[in-house]
Amino acid sequence: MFLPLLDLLNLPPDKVKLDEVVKLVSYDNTIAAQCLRVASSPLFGMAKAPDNIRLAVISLGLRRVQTILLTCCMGNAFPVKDWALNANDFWKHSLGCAMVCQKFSEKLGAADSEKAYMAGLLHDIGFLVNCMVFPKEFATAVTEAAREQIPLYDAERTVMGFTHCESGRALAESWNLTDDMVQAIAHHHDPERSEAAYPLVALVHLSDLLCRMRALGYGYYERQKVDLVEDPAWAVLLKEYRSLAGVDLVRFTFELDEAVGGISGLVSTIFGGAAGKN
Amino acid sequence: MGDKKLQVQPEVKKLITFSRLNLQDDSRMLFMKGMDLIFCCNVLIYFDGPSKSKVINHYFTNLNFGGYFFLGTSESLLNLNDKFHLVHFPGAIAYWKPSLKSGKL
Repeated sequence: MFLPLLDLLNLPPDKVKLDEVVKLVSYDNTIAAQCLRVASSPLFGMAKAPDNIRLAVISLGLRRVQTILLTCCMGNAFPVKDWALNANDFWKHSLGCAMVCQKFSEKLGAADSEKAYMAGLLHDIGFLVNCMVFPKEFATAVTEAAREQIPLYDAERTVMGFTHCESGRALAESWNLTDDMVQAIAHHHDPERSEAAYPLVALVHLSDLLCRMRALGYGYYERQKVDLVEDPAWAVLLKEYRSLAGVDLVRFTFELDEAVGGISGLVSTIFGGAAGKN
Repeated sequence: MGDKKLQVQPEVKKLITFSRLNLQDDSRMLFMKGMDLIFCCNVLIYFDGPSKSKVINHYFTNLNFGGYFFLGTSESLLNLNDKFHLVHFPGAIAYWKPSLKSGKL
């Protein structure tokens, strides 16, 4: 069901049919139950999840249901088995970044904040490819990064000669994701080299940095000083959304901190036993 | 850290001085030059807008180039000062007075 879901997510919002989404959610009982639980978590803001899937889909909105579905499916699509990365950290970072991207784009008044969520959720998907396809080399990179306190991206470069951005790109292209999504996965570390200056790429880049500076990184101390406002991606985003100038970054950072607990809870709901073992 | 405790070496202790300072006293604030770091936690919340701006401007001038200014949790300089750069470190937020060679001032 993962691939049909991705196809559905690629459609423009007005082309998506309610029945198809309901069908997809009901396809698997475990997923359906998981979705209802996730929908009632503080991150998705439903006080009490309806017990009827159709009703839940209607009250949550189609777009949101699809992102919730995607969130749940990720855990099943990538079973945890001797990962070089701590699975719990990985999902916390991915979900955290998804949330930050979404909140950020809501603050900017962007049209499709669910898309921003999806981009945040998938941006580091290349790490999973590296975990599965190059377990030994990637494990060396992870150790190196933690020892040198440098970004994993830099360690991958030195150790393997390529990064999760390239592997993620290959996967995203084989999934037929939209071009801005592919670019966000491929260039969230070097947005200036993106083939097109999509605001989405800039948004994911900044959100990722912010997550790594707070408690939503990869579980080690990354010795880095980050000036988001001076980052070229900030200018890209500002050009598209003038409202960025009024965003209180400090307050935003503290809002992120407050959400960390909820994200950890969500990770154990979705990836529960599997992520806990690692 | 656990219950490990640290103690500052006596030769470093000797370098420390404590003194009182009225942040609203402009003439004394003018003579506080040459700071590398300023921590000012949960103080400015008690000041009104104009006094906040005034104190922050003093901090900015008194800091050395490349120096840092730290506020308390959930305090923000938004709309108070646009010369400081907001920077993130892992787990910490600081305001940075850019160094001269960075060309960002």
